[in-house]
Amino acid sequence: MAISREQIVAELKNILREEQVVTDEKVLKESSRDRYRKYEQCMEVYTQPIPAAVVFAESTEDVAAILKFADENGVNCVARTGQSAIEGGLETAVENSIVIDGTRMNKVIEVNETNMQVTCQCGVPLESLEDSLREMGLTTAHSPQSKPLAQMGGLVATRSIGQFSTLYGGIEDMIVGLEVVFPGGKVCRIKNVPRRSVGPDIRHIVLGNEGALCFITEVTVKVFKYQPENNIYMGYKIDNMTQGFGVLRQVMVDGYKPSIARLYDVADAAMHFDWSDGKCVIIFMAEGPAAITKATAAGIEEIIAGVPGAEKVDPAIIEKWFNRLNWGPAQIAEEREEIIATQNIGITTEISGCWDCINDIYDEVMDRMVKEVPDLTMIGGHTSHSYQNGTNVYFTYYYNVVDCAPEDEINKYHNLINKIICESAVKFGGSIAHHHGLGKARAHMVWEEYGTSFYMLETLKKSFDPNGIMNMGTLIPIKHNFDDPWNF
Amino acid sequence: MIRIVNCFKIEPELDKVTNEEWAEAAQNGQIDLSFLKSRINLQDEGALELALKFKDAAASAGEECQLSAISAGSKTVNNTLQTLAALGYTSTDRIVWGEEFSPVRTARVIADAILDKEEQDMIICGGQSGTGSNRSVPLLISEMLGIPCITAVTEFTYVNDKEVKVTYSRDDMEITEVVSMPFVMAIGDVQKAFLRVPTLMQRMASMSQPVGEINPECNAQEGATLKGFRYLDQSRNGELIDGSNPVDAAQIILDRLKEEGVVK
Ligand SMILES: Cc1cc2nc3c(=O)[nH]c(=O)nc-3n(C[C@H](O)[C@H](O)[C@H](O)COP(=O)(O)OP(=O)(O)OC[C@H]3O[C@@H](n4cnc5c(N)ncnc54)[C@H](O)[C@@H]3O)c2cc1C
Repeated sequence: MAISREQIVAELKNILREEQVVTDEKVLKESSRDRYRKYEQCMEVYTQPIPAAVVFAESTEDVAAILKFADENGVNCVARTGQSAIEGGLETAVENSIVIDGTRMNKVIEVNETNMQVTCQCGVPLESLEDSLREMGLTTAHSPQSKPLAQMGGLVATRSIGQFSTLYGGIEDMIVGLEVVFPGGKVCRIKNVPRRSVGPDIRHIVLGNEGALCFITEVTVKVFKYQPENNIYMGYKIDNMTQGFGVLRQVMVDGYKPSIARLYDVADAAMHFDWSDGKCVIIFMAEGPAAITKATAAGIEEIIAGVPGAEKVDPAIIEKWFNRLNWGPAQIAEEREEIIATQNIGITTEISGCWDCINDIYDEVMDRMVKEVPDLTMIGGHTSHSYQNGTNVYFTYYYNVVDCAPEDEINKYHNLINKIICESAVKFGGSIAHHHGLGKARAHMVWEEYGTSFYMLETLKKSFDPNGIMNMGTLIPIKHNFDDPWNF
Repeated sequence: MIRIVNCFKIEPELDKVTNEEWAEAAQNGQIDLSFLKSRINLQDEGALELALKFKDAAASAGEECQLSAISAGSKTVNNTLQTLAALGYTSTDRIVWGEEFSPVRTARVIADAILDKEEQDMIICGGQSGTGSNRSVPLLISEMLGIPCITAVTEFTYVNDKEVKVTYSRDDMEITEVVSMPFVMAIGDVQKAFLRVPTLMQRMASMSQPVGEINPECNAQEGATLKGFRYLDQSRNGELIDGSNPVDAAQIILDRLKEEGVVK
């Protein structure tokens, strides 16, 4: 028989100190979702089951004890750190869930300047870690737009990526070792080595697990020399996205590694720049030792010289603009006021694809959005992470919420848009999620995304979480409407 | 038919300039704001949304309103004028203008543009812009047009085709009265007055409405230009005081004020 809400709270208070277990109704309600339901958040409507408690773990032992109890009693647990998730990963989809908050596990355990790696607990905020490393002349080189919000556990759990990724890669390229706790309380540690050949790379079971397999308690990531004095920013106006994708491809294929490589379409550029004049904008930053940045910049200049109509923009403008791109709590509060006042809401969905299909995905989304989405006020896109074989597109869209109860907004607009974007990505052979994760929203297309390899994901879930207590509904849906998958 | 003209301005998002950048710029005597995105001056944004609300309310009372918008500035404002066209502004004009610090001349070119239009019932401006910040353009326009001006307006609602109910603040008081048109209004700080957003369909439907361009007779070169500015450090220090009850807390504050010589 399922254990009651009261019993869960009572047992948690036995396991932890009473003060670590929060049952305040407002906190519980706010902990039942994330920014995927941004409109519901603004309108203060709650549609998800309210968790039984939010617990503030202070050690690996705390996490292990909670997961042992939860596993024995079939209680769903949702891990969280910075709470910047945007795909429903923090929704408590099962009645009487426990939200395990790792923010108090916020110690930087070791900065090892010889091995160029830093070890920290899951609740270390990326921004404060980065600030203190910079004072030592070092950097994590990980700079997602959510740097002022996100913490190390969540960043690893979502396979996040930062704005300097074209040089440094995503978190998967930065991670060295980990400590994690599995259901039942089993603690596993993956040691810190530069590389090894000892079977599958088991770090990848943890990376991107979104709290659906284990709780990450500690991470070690690489650090790099911080040498901003050598940075060279570049920006150009160009005629269209096809040209832009071509430039990005050539930069990558020719072997240049700028740390920033961003391409904005006309609508997205107009949102950011007064000076874009109805054109697309492409931006680069060369980073690293001076000799390399000069060579990178010269190489990119040469490629751009071959683009008819490309127009150079003052690099100082690009640098100052870029330094204001991150989002913190102040922007979130401002955005909320604006949404409430205008009933106009902006959301993003990011996908990826190889060079031979990315333009098709982009065109299809643009075409379908205008035709199929009601009350749309803006649709645009940019790429911000490029690779040898392809790139991502980050679609940005705004719509007015019209004649619609707050609880219906998700199906009427947001899911419809996600459906269009994900269907287009799959149709041309791309991926439905480049870096925000599947969460509980895009999980509804997990079968299309994985194809035959879904077997491997499902097997991982069944093996590591046999009793189904880890963030149920994330990665693999628990309720799925097979006739109308995006209606939930 | 009630004719309303909104005079508005766009300006760079100055709150994105850091204190260090202000301090450095003050030393050079110039500040480069070209990297900042522009937005509608906050009071002007409130004014535009209030005008649209007024139009909606008048329409439900069976009265037609004709909205026009005028902005004096660079062509960066054209995007905003196109947005206003999509929201139902039937005339959207830009006065080709590059001056920030010449309120009399700015008011003159705006007043001239208004005089060139059909007679207007309400001329609505924001009270003050973030860059010029001289608080005088609406008053000057009213003087030039020879009609009254109401300042610090926070709300105005439709009464009939001759009168409008206007709420404005004076000192700490809020006053509401019914006023006969025509008049100029300077909008004050309207709470959460964000401009509504047109749909892509509305934008497409208004594409055929061109942004008008007005070339004033004044020569922009003759106006005041920025020669330099000073950086005023207005930062404040905040400190959490640990007092278990109000009496304790008051005592701690008092002791501190004595220590710092603020009170004896
Ligand atoms: C304004 C904004 C900008 C963003 N920009 C970027 C960007 O540039 N790049 C990018 O990659 N992402 C971005 N994101 C998405 C988000 O910030 C990232 O996914 C980030 O990695 C989440 O970290 P967090 O600490 O906030 O995690 P949370 O939001 O707390 O959790 C995210 C997910 O990870 C799981 N999780 C959290 N902690 C743990 C743990 N200790 N163990 C196991 N699972 C855990 C949660 O259950 C959840 O599924 C952005 C989000 C916002 C709101």
